[in-house]
Amino acid sequence: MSAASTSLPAPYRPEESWGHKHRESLLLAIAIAVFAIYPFVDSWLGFGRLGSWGPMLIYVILAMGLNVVVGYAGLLDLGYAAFFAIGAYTMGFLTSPTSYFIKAGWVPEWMQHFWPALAFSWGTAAIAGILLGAPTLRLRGDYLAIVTLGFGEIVPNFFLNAEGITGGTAGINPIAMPTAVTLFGHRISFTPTDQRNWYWLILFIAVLSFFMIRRFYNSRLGRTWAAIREDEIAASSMGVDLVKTKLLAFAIGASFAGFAGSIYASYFQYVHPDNFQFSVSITILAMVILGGLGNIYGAIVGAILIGFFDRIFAEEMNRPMHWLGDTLGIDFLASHDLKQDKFLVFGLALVIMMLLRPEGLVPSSRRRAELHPETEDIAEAQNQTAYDVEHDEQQLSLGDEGR
Amino acid sequence: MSAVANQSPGVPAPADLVLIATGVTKRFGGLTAVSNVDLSIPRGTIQGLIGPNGAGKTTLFNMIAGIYEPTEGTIEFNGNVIQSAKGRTLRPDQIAGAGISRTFQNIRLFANMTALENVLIGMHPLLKSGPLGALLKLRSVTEEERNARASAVQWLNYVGLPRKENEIAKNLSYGDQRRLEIARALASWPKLLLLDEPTAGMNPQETAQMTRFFDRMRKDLDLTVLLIEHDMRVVMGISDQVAVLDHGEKIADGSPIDVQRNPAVVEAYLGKSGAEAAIATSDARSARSS
Ligand SMILES: Nc1ncnc2c1ncn2[C@@H]1O[C@H](COP(=O)(O)OP(=O)(O)OP(=O)(O)O)[C@@H](O)[C@H]1O
Ligand SMILES: [Mg+2]
Repeated sequence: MSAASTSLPAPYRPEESWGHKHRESLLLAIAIAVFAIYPFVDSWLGFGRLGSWGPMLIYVILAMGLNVVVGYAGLLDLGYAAFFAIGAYTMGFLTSPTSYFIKAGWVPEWMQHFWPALAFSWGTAAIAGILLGAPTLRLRGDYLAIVTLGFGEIVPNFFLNAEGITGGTAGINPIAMPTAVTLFGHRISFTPTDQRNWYWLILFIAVLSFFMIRRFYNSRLGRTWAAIREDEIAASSMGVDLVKTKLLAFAIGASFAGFAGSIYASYFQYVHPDNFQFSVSITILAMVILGGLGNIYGAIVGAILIGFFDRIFAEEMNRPMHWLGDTLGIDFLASHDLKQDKFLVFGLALVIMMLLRPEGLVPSSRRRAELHPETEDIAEAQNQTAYDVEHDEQQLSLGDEGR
Repeated sequence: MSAVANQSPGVPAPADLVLIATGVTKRFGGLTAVSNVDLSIPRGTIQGLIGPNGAGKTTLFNMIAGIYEPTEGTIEFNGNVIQSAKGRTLRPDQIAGAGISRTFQNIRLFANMTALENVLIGMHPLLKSGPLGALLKLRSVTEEERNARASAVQWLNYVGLPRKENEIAKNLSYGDQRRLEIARALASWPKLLLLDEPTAGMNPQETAQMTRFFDRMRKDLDLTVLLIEHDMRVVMGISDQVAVLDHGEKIADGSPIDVQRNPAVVEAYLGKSGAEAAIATSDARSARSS
């Protein structure tokens, strides 16, 4: 490269130092280990909460997937539940004995099991992401959001109304459970009564999704997502194909909703259009925003916080609240169900978050730079003062030498 | 193949012209921003493009870069039509891939990304790895990424931004942002580089430094450059040819000296009465010096 020959050789400094990288891997390994041993902790301490953690980890998968579209590529998607629905119905169509497609003889026998259907749902949701993403390509901001909102309404309604295929309001039931696998000589089977194996299965899919998304993000593709989010015209002038980049964001984002949907269907043994309403899209979006748009760890934290409130905290708090209501004789407290307040709480959390820390709990460095230009200036100013002081000291010492 | 065979010796081969614009017009509603402009740029030269504010310089740039489609006319690059009012028009990313790179009059960096990432995006057309390769973490992908980063660092050095890899673009000084835009544009090894007022807002020392840098860059990288500039010393100093736009029309095209003396140009810049005075003094000056 002739450019290189004319300049000084530069020390190659990778973006993240080795220490930083190791620290991240270490923390990651610890976090995964903690999640993996949670079922034992749960039973030792008698929480009996494992059944709540399965759905919460499904939320985590959804939040990580939506973060690809909204956080990485900056495409506001208000209809993400559509892909969740498509994943769930795909699992139903492929594996339920009552499925129209199985009865019609369109599904080969080997496909009628959990694992192949899981992979197939991933692909189906990705293709749906491309099909639903394509009409929105020319739209930006508000308009894009409105069209995705429309798709989010159309898809569950289609499943509701296409009764002949989907069973309409009756939904699809039952759905295949994962076939037993043998791991290190242990036979792991999945039954509705054994929560542990389900928990580990969902955790496994979540961890797999995490690493897949992280690889996409750290690649050339992830970089172009950031570029189109920053400035579409500049990105396209640098050779970035906007259509391809956006469609890949939609497809990859949607594919993980396909994972989530198909596990969800198998876990609950039931698919119903009501499970994929607008409120689901909004809840997932709230998780991503609360945690920190554009940061996968943010999406995970947001999903666990909101899932925790929804599935555990509200329920646990009902008992003391009812007791308080009974002893104080306040009817409202005695009979109120905190679970009904979930949207109120999510909404409040978002409002407070936007006012105090708009970049989210675990922000991405880019979002932080975008939202807090002043902190950068302060840091710079501090560096400057440090420099000045150092400089002055040097001059002083020089002066001493002179004397 | 046939194009080569048809060329008779002695006649300059069309291939020596990197860019040929023929009868290019751009209308925005009732406003004609660029009107019937012809322009041809020989390989390896710096073509200056000047004109008063609103003359249509940036609009012409945007047509070459594919941001706007011309209302009339065609633009050829290396013998291929890239823009045509009737036929095919390439998208900006296709034009970048074909070897035309640009900077923006109002800096358009990826403001919240690092300097290194900005250059890596500029390198986009040269990189091959796709999503599947990234997912499987193929060795070719890791290797490509490592090489890309190393060469991005070298581009930063080349434009005079050593050790700024990890700076967020918007935290760089104004002059450094201009340099980063150039590094980003060079990173794809373009054949033709479009610079839209690259020294705007720089102080005289920085401007002089940049002017020398452009000259060096053209030689180092075998570049052809189309340069919009307001600073006359910059354009006249390094351009081989200068074209002048006024109200969308090309009123002059030639060597810097010819263009400077052209009465129509002086008039466009100074107005009619000012023009006469300026020509009188410049004539007097050239009479004295000869
Ligand atoms: N997208 C657009 N829509 C409508 N009018 C436009 C558009 N872009 C440019 N124009 C108009 O076209 C004319 C030429 O503008 P252009 O930006 O090309 O001028 P310029 O020569 O680059 O000027 P300057 O030296 O100020 O940068 C101006 O009158 C401008 O207002
Ligand atoms: Mg301009």
